[in-house]
Amino acid sequence: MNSRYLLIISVLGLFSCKKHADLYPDTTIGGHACAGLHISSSNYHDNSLEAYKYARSFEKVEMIEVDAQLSLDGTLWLFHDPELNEESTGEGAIPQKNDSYLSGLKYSSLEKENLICLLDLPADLKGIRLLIDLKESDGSETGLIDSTALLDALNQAKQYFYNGDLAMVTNTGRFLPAIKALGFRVYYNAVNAGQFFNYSNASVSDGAVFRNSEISISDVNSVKSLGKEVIIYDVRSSEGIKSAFEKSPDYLLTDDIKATLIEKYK
Amino acid sequence: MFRKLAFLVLLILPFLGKSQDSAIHSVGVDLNYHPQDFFFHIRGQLLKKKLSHEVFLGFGINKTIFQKQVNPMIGYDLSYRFKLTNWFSVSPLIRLSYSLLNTKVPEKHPLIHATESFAACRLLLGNRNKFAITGGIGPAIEWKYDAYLERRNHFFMWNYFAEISYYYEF
Repeated sequence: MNSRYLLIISVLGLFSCKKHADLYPDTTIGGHACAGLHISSSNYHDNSLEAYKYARSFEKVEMIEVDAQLSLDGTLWLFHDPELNEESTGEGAIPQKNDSYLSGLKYSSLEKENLICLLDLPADLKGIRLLIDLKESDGSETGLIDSTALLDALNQAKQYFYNGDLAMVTNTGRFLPAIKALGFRVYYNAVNAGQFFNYSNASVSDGAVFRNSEISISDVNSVKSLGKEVIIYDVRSSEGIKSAFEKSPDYLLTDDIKATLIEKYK
Repeated sequence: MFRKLAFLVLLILPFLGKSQDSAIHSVGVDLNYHPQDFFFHIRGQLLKKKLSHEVFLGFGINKTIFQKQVNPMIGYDLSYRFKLTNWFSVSPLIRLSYSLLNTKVPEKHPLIHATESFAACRLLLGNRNKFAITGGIGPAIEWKYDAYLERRNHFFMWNYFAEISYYYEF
């Protein structure tokens, strides 16, 4: 009889929808490369439409980061790595390929998701911030993508998306005023806080993006004291997620959305 | 309708026919690598002739122990044992499983359900004390509330697992 009561109580406890407190209210959760980059617990390949929809399906995920590269036709395609053959059925680099070639490619994952361009994402952002991590290489060793084509593509994105914010991560800081004039928030991809403080356009940018392992609590506070936002990424384990939350960044771009929600709402 | 019937027939098929006196019972434990977590299961097995039925119950180790959020999994294995020698056999198997995760999000919909099916193969070594290595792949459906669509939604995906097990045969 006792065991029956124990079972009922256990089941009720398991299925109860008790509301949990937000342990880190200063930090907003975001999805890194949609729903996680290079992690087995992500159900879909990073930067795919499936991964985007999956990340959007979670309550309390209010930023989605995507990696974008400009094709020869001036279209922003979502892809993380410099070489297509590392993760897809294609070869070469996106900046050296036409849209007709890229549109037939698939990721080399179990799900075989299609490569997509930025404007394949649903236009209605429904209140979230879409963070575009722009890879500015032109596919050669040192070259950078054409500025006019880039600004045209960003302008198209600005016209296309609605009901949310658009933001961009830059590695070079090129055309920052022009990009801001389009209505984008701009974050500098910094190696560490020192590099961000020495960055000539730091005052123009809206903040910076740091790896969790490269930034301390005091660094976060220093950047925030300048009125800039801090985004932390590269967190996978529950320990990594906890350590990132304890630094109180404005945004945490996680590779494991479920584990991050559990840590935040324990 | 046909698919539902076919599923039911598949489930009851192993139980049809004469009961065998040679039924062998085993209990066991396993450690399972799954993309979502490492799972620990306890399992019970009934072997009738060459057909084995197993039920298992367990939890995700990272979520349950390190994140203190119970992540239960329950499942059923149906396998056919090809005994190659006295101490070594190979079993193709079908696995059906269900798991549940509460993300604790303070909205109305914190629960994530996942049902999975796998086609797998198991290598079994030993007599009364058995060790097994199993690996499999198959389709899965995760269903949960979709905050973007503002309704319940399901996500289709492919999953896989690798598992080491220990059995004690009575």
